[in-house]
Amino acid sequence: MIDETVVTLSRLQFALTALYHFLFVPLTLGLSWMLAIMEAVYVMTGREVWKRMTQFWGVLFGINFAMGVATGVTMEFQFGTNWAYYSHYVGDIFGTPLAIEGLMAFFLEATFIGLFFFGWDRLSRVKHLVVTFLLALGTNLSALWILIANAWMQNPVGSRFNLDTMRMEVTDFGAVVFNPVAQSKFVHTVSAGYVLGAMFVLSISAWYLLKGRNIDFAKRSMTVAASFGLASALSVVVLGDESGYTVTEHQKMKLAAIEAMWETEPAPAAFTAFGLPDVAERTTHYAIHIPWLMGIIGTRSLDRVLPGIGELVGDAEQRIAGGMKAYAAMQRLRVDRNDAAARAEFEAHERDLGYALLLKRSLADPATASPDDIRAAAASTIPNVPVLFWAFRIMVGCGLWFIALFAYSFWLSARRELDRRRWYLKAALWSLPLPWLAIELGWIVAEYGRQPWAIEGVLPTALGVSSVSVAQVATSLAGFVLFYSALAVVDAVLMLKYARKGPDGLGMWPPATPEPVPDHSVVAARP
Amino acid sequence: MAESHRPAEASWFRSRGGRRFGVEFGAIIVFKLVALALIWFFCIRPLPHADTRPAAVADHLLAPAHEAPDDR
Ligand code: HEM
Repeated sequence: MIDETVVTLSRLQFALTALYHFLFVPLTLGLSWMLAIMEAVYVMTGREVWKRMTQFWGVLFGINFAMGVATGVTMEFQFGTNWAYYSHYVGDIFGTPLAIEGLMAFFLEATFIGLFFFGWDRLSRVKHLVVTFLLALGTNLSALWILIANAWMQNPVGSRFNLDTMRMEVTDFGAVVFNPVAQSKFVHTVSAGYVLGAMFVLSISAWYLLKGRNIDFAKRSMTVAASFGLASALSVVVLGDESGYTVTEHQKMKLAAIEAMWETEPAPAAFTAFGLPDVAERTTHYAIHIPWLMGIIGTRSLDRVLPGIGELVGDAEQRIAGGMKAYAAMQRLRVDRNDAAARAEFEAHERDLGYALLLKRSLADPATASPDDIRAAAASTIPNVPVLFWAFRIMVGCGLWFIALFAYSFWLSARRELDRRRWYLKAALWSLPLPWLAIELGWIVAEYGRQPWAIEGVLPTALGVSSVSVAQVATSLAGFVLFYSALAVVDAVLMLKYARKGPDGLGMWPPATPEPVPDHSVVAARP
Repeated sequence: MAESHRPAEASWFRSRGGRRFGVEFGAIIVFKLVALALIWFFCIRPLPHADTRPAAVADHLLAPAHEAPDDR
């Protein structure tokens, strides 16, 4: 049987490294476009302040980039050490987008980041702007490939189990790339990064205004952040709704758990705005329902029914029974590869093989499972309802707050009153951690909500782990925690140091000689 | 426009503060790559390699799963 401690520690290690890595990625995604916008304004207007803004926010971008780069590599180490069976089982499919991402990240991003910092006095303005634009495009494209790989774990399309190699193999790479889950994930995730980038600029600029420093510089930065942030916050919410719809299509149990929908309700189902899910009683106490909303979001209709947790557990029992037939046929084929009847039986139930593998957590041979074993395995397909319920609601709450804050910022900037209300500046400053919170919670919803599957319906997480010992995983876990904690301290110190110094402290702004009135064409060379 | 093709003016990244930033930026990346290489060399490389030949994977999936590395 499987050593659950190894599974738990391996999951913890992967979750911690992924969550840590994803503190940096979205800021890179969002800030890179903000730099491109600021520099585009500089190229169009020739006004020095826009160039200095690009350079100052570029410095903070650079620290984030340097701290974040390669923090994802340890996840790839773990595919080999802790998740060897996972890697073997799905490597044929999962490996390709990861490899493309690696090439993109190293060649595109690494080249353009160097040119971004050190090409200012070597490239023409337009060429430098193209570099900044390609830097943003490169970071966003590498996110696309990672999300294609991740989406395949949520909705494993374009692939089939091969009995001879004992692993999943690609049958249609186009289907993997154009997976509808990948599309909704990509747009939702990059928009979340844009919200973070905008909030980062808005909050730090608000701090300068509160301190009475870099006034003109901060107000312009906030103007960009307000408009970019408002567009991004609107799209993160609209596209979050699209994510909800694709989850309904492909991961019904995840959706039912997010909603704590214990039983199937008549269509259109209500959305539970608040409540305390009780796993033991399979009920939600003090629930406040908004009629119809869930049915409309989840099915885009008034008459399609969303299945509840109870019904989905029943479906899982059926699929486990089907999977046991595939499993037994596989065992027969192991003895005689030419057993045509066994092969036909396998092909008839192949789709449910993963469900039989759920039984391996408690049984050496799933073919011997009793009805009680089957019921227990089916019940194990329910993810952690209270965590998903709350993580989702906090993420959504943050989304609504971002729309309000950026819309108000936009309004203030249109009226040129960004520095008039201290309470607003304080609210903008203290909102800085919220996009990070929403983003990490989003990943918890997506990944914890996929449990007990590593690959939805195909490979249970517990079966993907390597045959390593508890001591080995515990040691590498401790090593990673130490390494990442040290990095986090260095990151915080550097970010704070450069943000505190600000454009004035770094000698970037104001310029030594007053900025000439722009003639929209020439910017005098500076010594 | 001829102006857009000229090099942009001397950059802050060439100033003293900018050069210092460049050094810090490079040092972090080099430090991290070295640390990761060391972690890989001392912690990851010595770990046993999982046997993922089809027959061994069939063992993993079909026969009782392994519990410790040495029973492979
Ligand atoms: C009304 C607002 C929102 C809705 C309806 C929503 C919906 C969702 C859903 C359904 C998922 C799970 C997708 C899956 O499991 O495949 C998700 C994940 C995620 N959310 Fe949200 N979300 C909202 C707001 C936000 C905000 C404000 C942020 C951050 C600024 C955010 C960041 C994320 C991230 C990073 C993920 C994980 C990646 C992914 O699965 O797409 N979300 N969101």
